[in-house]
Amino acid sequence: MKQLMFDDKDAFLAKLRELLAAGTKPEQIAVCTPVPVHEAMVLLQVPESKLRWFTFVGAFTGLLSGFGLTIYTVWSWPLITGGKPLVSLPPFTIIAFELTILFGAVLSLLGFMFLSRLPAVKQIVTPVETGNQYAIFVEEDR
Amino acid sequence: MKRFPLIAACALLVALVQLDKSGTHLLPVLVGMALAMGGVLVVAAAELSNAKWIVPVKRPLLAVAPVLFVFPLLVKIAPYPWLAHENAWLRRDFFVARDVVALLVVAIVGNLFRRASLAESAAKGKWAVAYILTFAVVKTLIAMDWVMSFDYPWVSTMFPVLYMVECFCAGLALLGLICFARRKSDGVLYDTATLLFGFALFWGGLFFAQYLTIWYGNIPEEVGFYTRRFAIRGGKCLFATNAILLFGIPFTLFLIHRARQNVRVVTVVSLMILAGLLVSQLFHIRPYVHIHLGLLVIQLVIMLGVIAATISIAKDGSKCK
Repeated sequence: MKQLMFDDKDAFLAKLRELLAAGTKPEQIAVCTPVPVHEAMVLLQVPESKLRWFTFVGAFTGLLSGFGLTIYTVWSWPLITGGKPLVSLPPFTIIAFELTILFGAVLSLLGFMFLSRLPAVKQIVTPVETGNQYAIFVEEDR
Repeated sequence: MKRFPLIAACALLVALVQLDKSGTHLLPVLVGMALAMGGVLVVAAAELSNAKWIVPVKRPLLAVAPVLFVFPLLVKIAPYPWLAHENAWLRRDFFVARDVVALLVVAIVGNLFRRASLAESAAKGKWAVAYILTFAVVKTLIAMDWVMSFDYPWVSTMFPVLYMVECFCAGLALLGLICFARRKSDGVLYDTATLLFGFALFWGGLFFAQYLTIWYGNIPEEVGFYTRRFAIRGGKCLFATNAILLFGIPFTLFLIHRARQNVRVVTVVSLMILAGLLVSQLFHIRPYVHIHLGLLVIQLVIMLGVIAATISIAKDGSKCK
């Protein structure tokens, strides 16, 4: 496997374009960058991660649970506070927001563990430590 | 010669604002100020965080800095209820004097930062810090004097922060429009959209926190801020439109990854944010100011035209080099 290291993002992207223009298939190339480089993801036609669906389902469930919990509790034990209506959406929004974040975060973590096949760490560990450099790994033709 | 029409437009705007007694000028001037201050603010924040994505758009964004010198000339007393009984702080002469000085200081510091940033001087970080601090103080003063004083003795420490965040959103919206003019879907566009998403959420949080504390406390001297505005025809509609334009639409659309990479979507959302800024100011001043629609349109067109022309001249200048 050929390994190319760059300090500069532009040089890294230029090399990546050059490799693809020279006929290297995107599936033969793996990159490792210190920050997300969206241009590289577009060039390598990386499919969008399924993780976001875990986050979305978790967050939406949290939102419904937050409103459901608060509305159910005031209906089951009606107690008027400060002259406000029983179902008062402004304060309930806070609970719904908190549960949206909580459920979304928990399901994201579980989704990440599921998609990366943890505890098998091979899926998330790069072949070499690249630090703050931009790395391209090219699988040679056999 | 290119700058002559620009100076003439600024002179016309100053004349229109100074002759206007209705207070309509507050809308275009506050929106223009948010764009000019926000544009420089975005670059200052990016410089401080050593962000490299800002480099391709730094010049057009910083081009708005000279416009800051127009705002001290646009200080004008609106029909504030406190004019009938002035006090030590809310007094015509002191009001004008402190706001002119404050806006002049932010203009000077902003332009010194612009010069240091474009020259890639070692002092650019210090000027960025100086600009951000000056901006925070001046924007607080302007929000309290120009808008919050309509409701005196109502006070809110959250109110100026909302104006500061709106300024950052305006700067990012301006960046979104610059991305459209560049016709490139690169990292700048994606980062702008991601920041707009984050700041829409931040603005939404502050807006909601301001409403919730007043709603929950239900104290007569506080709830008046909302009840006065909701009592006017269309007041609730303005409130909802404001929340939708500055929070609902950017937040919902930018949840979608592909939307952040689409220059048309970012442009439309940027325009909606600018419309949201106008609605926000309208919601705040409407109970006290009789808006002259014709005058508003003329002042707004000149204000936005001056900002657009300043950026366009800077872009042409960079091409020549």
